[in-house]
Amino acid sequence: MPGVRWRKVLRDLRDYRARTALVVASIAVGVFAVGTIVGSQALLDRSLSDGFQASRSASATFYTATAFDRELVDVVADLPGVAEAEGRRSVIVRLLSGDASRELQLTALPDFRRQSIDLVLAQEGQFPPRRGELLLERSALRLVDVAVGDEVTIRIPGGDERRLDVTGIGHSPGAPPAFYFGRLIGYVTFETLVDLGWDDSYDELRILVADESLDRAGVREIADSVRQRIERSGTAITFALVPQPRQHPAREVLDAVFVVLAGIGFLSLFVAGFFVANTISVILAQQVRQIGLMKAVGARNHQVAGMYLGTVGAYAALALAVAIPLAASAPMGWLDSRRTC
Amino acid sequence: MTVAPVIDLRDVVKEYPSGAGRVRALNGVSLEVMHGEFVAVVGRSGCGKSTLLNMITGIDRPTGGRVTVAGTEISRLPERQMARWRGENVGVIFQFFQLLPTLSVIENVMLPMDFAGRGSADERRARATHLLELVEMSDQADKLPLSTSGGQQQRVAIARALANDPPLLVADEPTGNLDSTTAEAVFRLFGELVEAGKTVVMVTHDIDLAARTRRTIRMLDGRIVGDDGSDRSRDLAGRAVVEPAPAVHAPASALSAG
Repeated sequence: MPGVRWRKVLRDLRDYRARTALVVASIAVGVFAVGTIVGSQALLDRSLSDGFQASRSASATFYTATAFDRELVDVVADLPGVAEAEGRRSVIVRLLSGDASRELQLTALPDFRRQSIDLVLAQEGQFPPRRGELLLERSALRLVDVAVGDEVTIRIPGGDERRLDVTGIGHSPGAPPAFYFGRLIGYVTFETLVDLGWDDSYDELRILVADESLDRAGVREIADSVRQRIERSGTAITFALVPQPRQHPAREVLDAVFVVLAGIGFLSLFVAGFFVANTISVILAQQVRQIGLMKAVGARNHQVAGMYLGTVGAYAALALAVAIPLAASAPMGWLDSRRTC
Repeated sequence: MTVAPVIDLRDVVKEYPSGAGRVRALNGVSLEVMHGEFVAVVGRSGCGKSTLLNMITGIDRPTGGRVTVAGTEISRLPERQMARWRGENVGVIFQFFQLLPTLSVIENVMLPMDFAGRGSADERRARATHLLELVEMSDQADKLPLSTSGGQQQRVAIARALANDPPLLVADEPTGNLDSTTAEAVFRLFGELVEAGKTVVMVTHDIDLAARTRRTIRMLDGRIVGDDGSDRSRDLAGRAVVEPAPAVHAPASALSAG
């Protein structure tokens, strides 16, 4: 059983329930905000990093103005410092949904079962897609009401409309999310692309460097030699992309967002601190007589101070008991909700 | 052999700053109270009675002069030692009882022992129970103060003042908020405590009660202007000086700690 003075502290907390609840809630909100943001950042760091590494993200991507064939891909793959090379073709169509239409990037991969760079992973339904079938990147589901098994209409440049069966949902960890950029991404075979009116040549070349520890400058050196080789073959390069190695493309944006959110979280914690200080000040003002009485019956300064610091400690403990489990579980829930989209 | 007084004030001056300059609440007060005396301090409002008690209890410090209580010159005692000294040497009783409202009756009595770190929790509870029996409040031990009457709260306050077995009890208008019957009962309780060996200094406006103590100090404008027992006090040291002497219910041993 606690000493008599601590019983007073506990009963003051109990008897002034509304005040206790307000103080605890204000601290808990601040702790929850900071905890959720820091926890989300840590979780996202790990999740992004793990997912991104597993996707074997391209060290460099070359977008060309003129088409090229398999032969150039093989030549590039044999260049010094290049471990893998893969050609792709992307075209822009519109996916019609009711009265609205959305931009859809259709990317054809040469062989879904033998991907080596920027892997497209199966998530639901048929994988790989077959001729006439569309594998939608999962982030598209937040923008269009489409499910596996639906038939969708697309409009190709020139205005013709074609139909594709959505037979699967996939995930490409390095792809820009549709809900941020407004462009849906779908994957098809080259046969489907040919059926839609394009040829089976490539207009993207992705490479993986052999030395995974290279920094961006090191990757650029290899990318320059690849660029020269591509241009020597008569293929014009529109632009080349050399991202920060081993870093998710959204990393810098997310870091900036988290800095702002963490600032807001700490601000709320700071405000909660003011609230607690104000509350303790009010308690002290209300209990001047009681403090005087306690000193009159022999309480020493540190004993009285300890009681009120104990009150603050109790507020903090209650707030942490509420906020920490919530802050710990919120990032997991948030991440789960992201995974379904 | 010379017996040292429990309270020894020498030329005590206390001034307070105010809007109209410095106000002198005590103006060269000298006072000796011997062990076992029951002293009433009377005077008009603002004459310095409460300031005098604050000097004796160490709640306030003099501007000048010397205050020695229970052998300690408290006017020079550092603040950090004052509360401990007070807890062990002086029991303070207030007009409005000043019991902590969220603690039960028995917990209020245990509180000074808790601050002083005396005994184990069981020993504190046992002594608090014993003191509540002494003031006839043991059947109310687990009630909150506000569910008891004013007279009962003052009895609890007296039990609390006795918690650490101090040699000196100081009471500021202890009967001022009580009806006459209850005030009489509380006064008798003080008499019993004096019989049991305690020294009691009581500020009161009640002239009839003051007259029943053999020593009454009259104050006016910060000075002691009358002291009808000072000459006898040294001779009567250690004896009760209450008239009429009440029946003694509490032998000295009953008030001792432990």
